Amino acid sequence: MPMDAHRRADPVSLRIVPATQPFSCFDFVDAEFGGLDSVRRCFSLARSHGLQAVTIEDVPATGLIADENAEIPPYAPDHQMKALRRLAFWSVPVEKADDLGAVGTDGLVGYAILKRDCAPCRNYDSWHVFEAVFRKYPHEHNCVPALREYAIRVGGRDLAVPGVLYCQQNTLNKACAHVALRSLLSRRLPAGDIAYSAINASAVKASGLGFQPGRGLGVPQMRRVLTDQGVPFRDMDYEESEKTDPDIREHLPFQKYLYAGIESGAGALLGFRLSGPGVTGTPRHIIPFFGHTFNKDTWVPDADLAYFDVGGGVGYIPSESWTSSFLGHDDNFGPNFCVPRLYVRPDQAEYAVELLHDHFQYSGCYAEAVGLSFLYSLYPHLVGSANGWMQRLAFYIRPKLQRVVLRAVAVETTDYLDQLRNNPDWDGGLEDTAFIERLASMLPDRLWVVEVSLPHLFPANERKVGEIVLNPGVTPDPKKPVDFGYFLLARLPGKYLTLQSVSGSKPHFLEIPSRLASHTPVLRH
Amino acid sequence: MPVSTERRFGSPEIAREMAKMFGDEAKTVTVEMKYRREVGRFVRKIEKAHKQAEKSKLVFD
Repeated sequence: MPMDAHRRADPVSLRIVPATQPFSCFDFVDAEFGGLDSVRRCFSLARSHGLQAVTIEDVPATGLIADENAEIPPYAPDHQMKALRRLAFWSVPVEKADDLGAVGTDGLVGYAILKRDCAPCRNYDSWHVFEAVFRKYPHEHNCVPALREYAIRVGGRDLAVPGVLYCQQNTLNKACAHVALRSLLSRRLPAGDIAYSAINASAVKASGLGFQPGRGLGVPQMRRVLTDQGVPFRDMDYEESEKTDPDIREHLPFQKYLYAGIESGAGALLGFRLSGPGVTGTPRHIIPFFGHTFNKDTWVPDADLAYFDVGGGVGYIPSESWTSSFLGHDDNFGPNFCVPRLYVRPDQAEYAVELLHDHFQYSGCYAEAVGLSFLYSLYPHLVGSANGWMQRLAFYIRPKLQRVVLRAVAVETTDYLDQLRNNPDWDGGLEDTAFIERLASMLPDRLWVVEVSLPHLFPANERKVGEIVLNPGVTPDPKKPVDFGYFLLARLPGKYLTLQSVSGSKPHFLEIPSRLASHTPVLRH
Repeated sequence: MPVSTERRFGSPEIAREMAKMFGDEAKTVTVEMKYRREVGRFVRKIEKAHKQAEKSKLVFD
């Protein structure tokens, strides 16, 4: 089944609605879609991108939507799909069908496929957003790594929108956990998307009898979905872990999981307990995260509140310290929200998942800690360097200060080497291309690159003084606290270090010169 | 082309190649590993939490 068939289905009808003033999105959503919050949010996003017109197509159920309709009857025998509409939002004038042939793809702000399901036996008759994709806000400090494009046909024209898929539950065959998983999986699976029937087929394997997908997914079911799709991950059930480590929420806060997954481009999930007026029982909700803000003037790192202690007084400043909000979807309310990083209280967070890239064996905060160990061990060899940036690095990593900035980034090796090749340091020094070509033949295809920067250099310039490069394919061995097998190389101002051999617990590094003697840009997705 | 993290060279092999490439410009430094216990304890927590999540009974709806 082509995973984008439902996006490319030929329409049965096409309406064009001018949306400039005095058109009211509120009135329109009230009149056509029952005032649904998530649909209102789609119109609000479109409005903030300069909405001028909406195209509305009635489309037949094909592909993933036909698959969903076939899946629902065992859970709701009298189910009927009453309507299916594909909305495209335009920031350029579109007045008639012929105009669609001429508009540029940049004029397409986003799309939403809205589905109305009816199941009297479940007392259900409602619209929901089967899926929607909207462009991100253009602000440079609104960071969404690994954006992909979603192909969409509008008025017979094939277009594409970059963004992150938003989906909403219908309580029949999918709940918040299903749609959160689909949002993140659609970004990475070779097929480009996943059917809810495939999610439920995996969930059934981890369930007892009587599985009802509309009632949600448990952690074992979500884990099974990820495993069946070949997606590595690291997760945390805070209640389970608190049984053996009462301080786990402080030692491994949920923000570490979210930021690591987001920054690597794989994404993350946060499950939390709902609270507030009107909430009864212990309802839980889970939402996907895929981006973050970067607030270079934030006060937190300077105020010393950002220091992350891995234990025993050993720590660093994680790059997430300059993040004020995570970017994610909330299926109840719509796509592309900023969720303040410290808004969910630690005691409300119940489950966090960091997705990893294919074949990665350990997480981003694991990589940062391992990188930290190698970096701090090198300290005695950095002191007294004639290189000013090495002196500054030595100052910030000295045992009594430990205020170095670390940022773990999962990258393809070609991207890392391209950065070395194409970016001169601040003084104009360029790396030796013969060295880079030699390195290219020796490194694995993907890397954990733990970027090393300094306070003020990182937020103001988005630059770094080096990186610790680790092999993400080495499986953690609990018997080896810091496995030398992780280490591939370190680049510091004016030099590289690679591991020659180990005597007991003492590694011998080969030090070779680098032409990059000052700071260079951080990796960008 | 599928991307893999299968190792092509470990760091010692890279060091050997680089020693050949850089000749006299390369030198060896021996390092005393610091904070292995602290970092080891931290990374084990991550892996332990992942293992413990197998027992989770949380449901999200």
